Amino acid sequence: MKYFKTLLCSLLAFAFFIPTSVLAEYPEKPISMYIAFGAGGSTDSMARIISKEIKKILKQQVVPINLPGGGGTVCMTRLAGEKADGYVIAAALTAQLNRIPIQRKTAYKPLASFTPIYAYAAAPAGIVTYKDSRFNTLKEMIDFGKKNPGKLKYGVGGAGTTPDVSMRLIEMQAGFNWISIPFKGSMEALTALMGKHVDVVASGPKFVSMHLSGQVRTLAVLNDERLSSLPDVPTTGEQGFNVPLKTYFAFYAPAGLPADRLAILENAFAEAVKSQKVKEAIDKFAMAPVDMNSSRLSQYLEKAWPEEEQILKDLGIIKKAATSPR
Amino acid sequence: MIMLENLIGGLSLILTWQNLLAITAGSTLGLIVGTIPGLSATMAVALLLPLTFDMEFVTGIMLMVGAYKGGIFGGSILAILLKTPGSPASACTVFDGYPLTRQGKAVKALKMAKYSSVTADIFSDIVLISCAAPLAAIALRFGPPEIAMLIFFSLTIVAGVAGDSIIKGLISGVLGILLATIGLDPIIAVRRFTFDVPNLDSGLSLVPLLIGLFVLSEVFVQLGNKKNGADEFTIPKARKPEDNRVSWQEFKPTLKTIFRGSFIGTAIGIIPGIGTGIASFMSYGQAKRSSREPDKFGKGSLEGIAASEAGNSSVVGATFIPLLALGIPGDIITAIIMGAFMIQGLIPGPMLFAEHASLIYAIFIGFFICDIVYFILGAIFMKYAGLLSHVPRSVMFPIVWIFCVIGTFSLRTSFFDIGVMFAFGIVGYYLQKLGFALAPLLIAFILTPIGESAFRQTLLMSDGNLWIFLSRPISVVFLLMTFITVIGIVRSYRKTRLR
Repeated sequence: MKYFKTLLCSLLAFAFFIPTSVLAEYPEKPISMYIAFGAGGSTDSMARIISKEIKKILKQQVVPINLPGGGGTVCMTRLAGEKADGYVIAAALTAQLNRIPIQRKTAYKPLASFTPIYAYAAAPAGIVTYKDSRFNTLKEMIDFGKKNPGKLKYGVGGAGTTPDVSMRLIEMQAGFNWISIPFKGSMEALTALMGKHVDVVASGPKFVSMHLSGQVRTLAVLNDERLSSLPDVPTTGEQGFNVPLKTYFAFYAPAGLPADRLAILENAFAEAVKSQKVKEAIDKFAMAPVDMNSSRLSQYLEKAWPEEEQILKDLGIIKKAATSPR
Repeated sequence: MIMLENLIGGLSLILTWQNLLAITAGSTLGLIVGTIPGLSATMAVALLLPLTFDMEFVTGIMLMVGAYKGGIFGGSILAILLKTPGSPASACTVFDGYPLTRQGKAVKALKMAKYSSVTADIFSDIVLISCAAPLAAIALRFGPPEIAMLIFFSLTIVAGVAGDSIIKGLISGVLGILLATIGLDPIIAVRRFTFDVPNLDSGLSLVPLLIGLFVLSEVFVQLGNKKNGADEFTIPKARKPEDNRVSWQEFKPTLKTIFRGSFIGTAIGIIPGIGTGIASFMSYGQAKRSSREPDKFGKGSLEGIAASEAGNSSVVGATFIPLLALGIPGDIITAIIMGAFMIQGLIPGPMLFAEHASLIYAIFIGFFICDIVYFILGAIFMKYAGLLSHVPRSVMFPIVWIFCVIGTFSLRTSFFDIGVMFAFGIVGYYLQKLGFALAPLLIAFILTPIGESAFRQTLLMSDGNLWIFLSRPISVVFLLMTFITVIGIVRSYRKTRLR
């Protein structure tokens, strides 16, 4: 009898184990989604909206976890150390895989520690000034800057961020000097702008809402094309500058994600981004939608590293990349 | 007339059962989360944000506002009962709340905290409704030089909470400043004292530091007190019925303190990026300096509780002033709430006032409903908090310990943060043993990053010229106030030494 019981128990135990290891299809348990920034920002809000759609598509819970800090590198360091089983993914930007590690050493290898999954939008960036400013165009401002060297002060959300590097590129191409004043995030920089403590601000996505509420004047958007939400504002390219820096909102998994699971995730994201809710949200945050699957995103990242490195070298910000990409 | 129209429009928007339910649910969650050490109002609001995506706009906002207000108050409950503050904002309530608990007047202290919180909340809500736009315009005049001098002045708070030895208080403050420099520097993003530990890039987090210093170290201290009598193991019970209420004779003299605290809290709340933690300390310091009975502070003064609670509660309404008037969030919580606005396609700022006035008025009225709701909820809560006094400490403190770990871990699901918490638990224990006050360390730790960025931004603006601080009226005022306060402190210090 005792022997029988043991047998039954072991059979039962097997019955529980077999389906999970052999028969179950990915995803059979909740997926954790790390978010590289704090609650309430555009990365966070978008990640949460997209994760709701993913949940419907994969019929599995997606649990968002905010891991802010270090400009998103804290989150990516964590992701790099996770198992590549498709149950841990992260919502971040492309900047954590090029602009930041080029400038300061990160614990992960930007081009070797991750499997890029999908990028859905480009982050809008723009150059804004206060609404009763004397500058109506970028050119007027630069002309003033050339006549009054060291007088113009621009605020940015942090040293070495995309907007900051873009401003330095403009400075180099126009051949004049202005003073960079880094703040903690675009919002603080925009606040200082409204109090007229700085003359102009190069900002990430947050400037769009302040433009739409009529509180700032946008001199240029730092994108390839005009933003659909600000159709009257010219790009820097239209005004004769070459500012090729881009930042995309992207999802990543740890390196070595099996191809079948990657395909499932990739398709789920592509489908989620096409949903009405996500489209509306992209519109509200004034992002420029893109459709970059895993291979396109990987290609972009491979290409972007040497380009960004060269730009930062040309500007004299770095001598060589602080992190080796692999 | 337009105002009345908007008011009626707002009333019809807010007075639905869904909204009242949202306010009650939000406040309850806030109270619970705020009470548990390590879980904060910020976390409660962040937790609720995704739920609001599919809600009516006003309902979603009210849910979060309820959690914000409830969470700030909830932090004070265990601060009073167990000397374990739930958030930096309530760390200051400990000074007088806990001594009252030791005297068997826990319920009196809790009631005082609630009355002063609600009064201060209503004060700042009225300010928000009546003069958001002009005040927001003043707040914008606070650029880097003004903020740098404001923080410089705020550092004088350290003297008010330095404990018995001002020298030891200063040492504790300097330690706080040093700890705050860990991580990426705020201007050129260079690593400082990170020893290549990626987790230190963003510096030490405030919550693990606070919980370690104030809560865990208290658990250690209590462990060390084992040899004391059985009396030590539970919260002392009230000896007289008066100990369980606050009479009008007791409340009336604190009104002045409450209004001063509300004023300070509101002013701090309006300036973006300063935060709740400082307001309560500032209000406490000012109350102590101008009180008729400054010696009672720290020994169970009702005025002390009033000052701290009025200071931290009045910040809440005020942080919405820059958000609603200009679209600038005043602190982390309003930044999260701004996310809810954006998702609904509403952009906070002057245009919102013009185009959706009744929505704004609905939110305004909701603020008052929140005050009433958490006044009532607070009463229910306190009844149960009173029951805690029957729980032996040998049961209570292990539970607190568990919540410390869970709370800290849940912040960023990081084991590193738990390590930080334990390290500061030990640091806090020895600092207390050696007679160092912990509050100066906390204050300096909160103020330093804001002050350092502002100071260095100012020097970038002026090309390294320090005269810029004397060329701007607001910064001159703060500089003068600093000198006057420091002279006052030095004189009173000399006096006590002569005695």
